[in-house]
Amino acid sequence: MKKHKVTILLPKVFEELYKRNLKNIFNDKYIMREIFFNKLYSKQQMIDIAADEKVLIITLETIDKDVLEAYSNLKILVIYGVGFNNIDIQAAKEKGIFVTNASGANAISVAELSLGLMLSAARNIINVNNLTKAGKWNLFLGTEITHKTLGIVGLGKIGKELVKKITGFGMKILAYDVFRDEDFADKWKVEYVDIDRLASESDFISLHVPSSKENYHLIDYNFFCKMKKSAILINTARGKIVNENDLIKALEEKKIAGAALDVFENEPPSYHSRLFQLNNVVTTSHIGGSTLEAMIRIGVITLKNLEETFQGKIPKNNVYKV
Amino acid sequence: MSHFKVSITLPKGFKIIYKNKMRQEFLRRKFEVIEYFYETPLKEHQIIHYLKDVDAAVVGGENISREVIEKTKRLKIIAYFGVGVDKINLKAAKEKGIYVTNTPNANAISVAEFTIGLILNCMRKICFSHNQLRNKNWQLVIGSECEGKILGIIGLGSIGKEVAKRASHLGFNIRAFDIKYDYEFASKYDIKYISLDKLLSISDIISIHMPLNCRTIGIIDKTKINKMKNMSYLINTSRGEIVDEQALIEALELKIISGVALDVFKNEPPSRKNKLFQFNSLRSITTSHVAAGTIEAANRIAEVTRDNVILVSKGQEPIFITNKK
Repeated sequence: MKKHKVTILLPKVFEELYKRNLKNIFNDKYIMREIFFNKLYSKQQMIDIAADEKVLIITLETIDKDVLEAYSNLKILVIYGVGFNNIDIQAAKEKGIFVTNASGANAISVAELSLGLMLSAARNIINVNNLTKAGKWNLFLGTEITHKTLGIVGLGKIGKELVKKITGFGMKILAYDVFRDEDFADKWKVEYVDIDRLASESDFISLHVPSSKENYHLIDYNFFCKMKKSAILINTARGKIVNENDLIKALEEKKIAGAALDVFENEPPSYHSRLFQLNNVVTTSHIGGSTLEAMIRIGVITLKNLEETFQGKIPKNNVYKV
Repeated sequence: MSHFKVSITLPKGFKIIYKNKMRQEFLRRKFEVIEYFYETPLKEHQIIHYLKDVDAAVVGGENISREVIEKTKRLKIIAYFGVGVDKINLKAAKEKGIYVTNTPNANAISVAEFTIGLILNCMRKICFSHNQLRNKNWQLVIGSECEGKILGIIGLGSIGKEVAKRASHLGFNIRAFDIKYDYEFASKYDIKYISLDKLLSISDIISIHMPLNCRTIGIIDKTKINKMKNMSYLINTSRGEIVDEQALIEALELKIISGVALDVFKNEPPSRKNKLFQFNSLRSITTSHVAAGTIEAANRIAEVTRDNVILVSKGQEPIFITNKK
């Protein structure tokens, strides 16, 4: 059987992991062109390197209408991850290009990071670590999360995973979502509420909605004003869900107690932002899905999507309805 | 009748909690109160100064030696503001008829939560990523998931159990070493008791939750550390003396283990030369004995401590006496 050509573009940091765990499996089935980059490719670079490709595997590169126009042979664009707000889905659909992701593959990783960020913020772990490294020895009083109220905005795969993982802390859990899964809510004692109640009653608020037009700046100054002064916001979803300027304002006016952010409106973010100066803000560089286990899981799903495409089927993880 | 005198010597961070939860009640009862809130623990002559003429002493992390205890003239209770009374000479106090009390369980939840926070920090390199970003470096780091990994808990007492309850929902496979067995708890959370050596050799993460005593001091020594898997992490939120720090430093230098997260040290405050503070945050997360440091725990501790001082002022026996036997 003829082997198809596949181009994969991954951040350099994944190179070793890919080579150790996935390279053989991919090369067994496909003729692989593997590119590991230090800096995310620009639109022009994406056109230059992949204009004739049939199969392209990417992560966070911008693939808009212009780029898609330049791809004359592309059959399938595989996202080596979950979010696809960097891709013009409508344009891909019009051109008959499949776009697949690995929905759910990073849910465990993201949920775990959300809890890690919550505890880091509640207990000031990072500042205390840095202080001790600088020779300081201070007592710091944080807050417990046990028996507090957690508000989850977006009870999809990741939000639900967080609910399960955090069960041992005995928190009261409120959720806001446009879709309701009453069975899940019953089983895990989650109470669906409107977004205003979630804002005003939660001690910790964790965001797990996808980035979309409707969710753009869903969390704004108005929302922060409804939050408890002692509350902490955690965002491991997408930066554009939160109005960053409003967040900075809310933090500086002490409308809320702190924030822990893995995602930003622009990535990499502007380092001049006051977010990187406030000492009650934890910031990480979009590492929510970045674990060995999630990367392997995504690899397995990617192989399946490719197989289905080459069998002439619509891949199961296609992100739009054909 | 002379007033009932109470001395309060506590770290500065507890001042507000003390004021809110204890002082008013002491003053209402016309106790004579002397207070000192310190940045670094008191030296022996300072402690003697505070303790020698009082009826009750509320103490934090100071060394209360036999010498200190023998200099006291009317002391009836040393109410330790926390759980681990290892710095107090219990025998000397007993001989003088002084109660030494603590507040068991008051900080178990806080310590357990902090432990989980440290575990997640190790696995996901949160401190490292944060510091990189503050240095204007947007760098993807790859971590590991907790789900499916083996967590070894050394000491399945009240804190170890709180850790286990939370960790089991995170999908950890839990193994425990303890000299006492609680099979009911273990079966509920699917925990298997195994030997210390076995635990060290199979765990991805090892968390210590033992009290410090003559049997546990230095128990995690070079031989024990060398048994650990080379991709594993050691977490210590119990007492620094349980681990041989020099052996730990060597293990980090030789990359025998992936990393450590330590909230406690042999000497506190530690020497600035202590090498454990010189590794970057990928290898070593260090904090200043803050695992029990929450407002909720401090309030619980303050209430128990206050009530014990009041009981003794009325000539009654306090609760949670640690030097009864």
